[in-house]
Amino acid sequence: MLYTSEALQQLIEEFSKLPGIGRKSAQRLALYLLKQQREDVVRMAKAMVNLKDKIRPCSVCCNITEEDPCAICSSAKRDRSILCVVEEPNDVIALEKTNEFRGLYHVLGGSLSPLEGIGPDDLKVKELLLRIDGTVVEVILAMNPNVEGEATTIYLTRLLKPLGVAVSRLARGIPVGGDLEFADEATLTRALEGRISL
Amino acid sequence: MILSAITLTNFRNHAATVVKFASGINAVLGKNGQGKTNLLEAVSYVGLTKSFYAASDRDVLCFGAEEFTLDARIASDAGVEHRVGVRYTREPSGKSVAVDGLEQARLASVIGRFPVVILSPEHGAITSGGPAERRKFMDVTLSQVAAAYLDDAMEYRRVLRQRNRILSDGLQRGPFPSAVIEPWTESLARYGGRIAFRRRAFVEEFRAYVRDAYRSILPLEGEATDAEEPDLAYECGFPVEAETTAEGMTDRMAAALASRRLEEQRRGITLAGPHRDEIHLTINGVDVQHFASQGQHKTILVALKIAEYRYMRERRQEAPLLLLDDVFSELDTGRARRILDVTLAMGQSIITATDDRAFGGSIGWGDKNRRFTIEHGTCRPAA
Repeated sequence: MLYTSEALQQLIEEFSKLPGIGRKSAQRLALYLLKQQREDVVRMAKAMVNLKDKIRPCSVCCNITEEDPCAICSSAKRDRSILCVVEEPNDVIALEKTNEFRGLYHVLGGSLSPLEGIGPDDLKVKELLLRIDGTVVEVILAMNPNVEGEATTIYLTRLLKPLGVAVSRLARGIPVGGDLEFADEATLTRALEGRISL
Repeated sequence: MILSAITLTNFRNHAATVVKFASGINAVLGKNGQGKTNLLEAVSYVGLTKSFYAASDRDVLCFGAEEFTLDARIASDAGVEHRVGVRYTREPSGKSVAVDGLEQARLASVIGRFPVVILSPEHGAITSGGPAERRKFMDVTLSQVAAAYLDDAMEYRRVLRQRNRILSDGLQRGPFPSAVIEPWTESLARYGGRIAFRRRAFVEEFRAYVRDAYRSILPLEGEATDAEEPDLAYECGFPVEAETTAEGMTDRMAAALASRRLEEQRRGITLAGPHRDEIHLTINGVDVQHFASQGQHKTILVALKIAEYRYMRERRQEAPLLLLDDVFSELDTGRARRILDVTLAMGQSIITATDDRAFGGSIGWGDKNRRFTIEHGTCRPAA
């Protein structure tokens, strides 16, 4: 056995399953925890279990929540005529930070990717279509700017347009605060394609 | 551009190598297996962020090491100094490139900034192998002159894999609704149209460069080659006419995919698109791949590379770095001399060889042109 303790080895293996954590980091984390107070470690372990026990999907927008429907879906202050479709709960957090978007969200749970076995039936598409009931006027498709996000955008556009709602997508291009001079050519080309008339 | 120095740490058999290059010809001499090609491979990482062989990052990591680093000092033709750092760690596996200390979010954004042209024995396949080799040649050249092309090509490859998966899954699991494949078809045609449009324009321009380059390395003594005229022709992987825009090409490709839908479902693979492009190489109208002599193969390959160099230099307004790996053992001395003459007129080059006989007596070794010897992964200036 490489390590003198099976408990240590087990935790290292668990940690190294985490995204971005290699074996060395896992080892460092495990040994760090060993040096901490027992109650601190218990608090951390509880927080992890709570995550799984308390969080469930919102029955309206499919975002993660403790209360169903979630705080955004049940808020009286939100504009119910605009729906922003995102891939993951992370994306909702990012958009909420802007404090600019006052509409509702819909979390698809990923994007189309046949290579990973993800087809339309594996995303919350039916749930989205059910929400287009006359109240919603515009749907913003805010997928990630990669080929999977693009295919998902095309797929959803084809489904949503016949339902009589306005469909838009996020712009792709130059980041705010970036100099044109330093933008790479691919980004500039995309920005040119996505230019808007004034 | 001029590569003034490069430092290799744990790269292949180079545990710690520092080489200061001259601005003209740099001859890297040594027996086989000492690390000559590895040095060129390191330089290719600086320009292309990867090896010019099909080697993976893990393959080039020195045995037993946790990471390799490369540190290059480059001066642009305008005289601006740049530093390029490449770092690869094994665990967790990851590669990063920093330009002037600034880590690049996208590796692809580095490609083309420090242009390189490489000729190694594997490149013989460009003239003698199948169409995939010629597409690769075109991709490496175009990627270095147009970042948008590289971006399109990478996205196209990804969409193609996704789409092929739907088709091959369909073979096993039975028919799928057309709505499942349509988004990928639309996406593929968009990228495919842009790629085909650029490739066709490239081949049209590039023909003249190849003809000029071919002429400049001919005639060789004893070869009756005066009347030889090489040419290139682009054959698109879907039926096209004289479309004048990328959008027009996209419409053509979408139509081709639509007309082959049933056949695609039966065979489980995408049947139209630039992944099926061909570039026909001919000499006096005769197909090079199947009918050219050994000598013609070698001459036209060298011509393609000289043409690539001149095309990139004009397009980027920057002289590429020329890397010649072991070309003298592949070419006879007459052709090798011609390359040297052209090389001397071109700018900086790094040339590996087993000894300096092939360079003949005419090169003045000194500050402008330098010789190095490599032994067991240690490189030093030759006496």
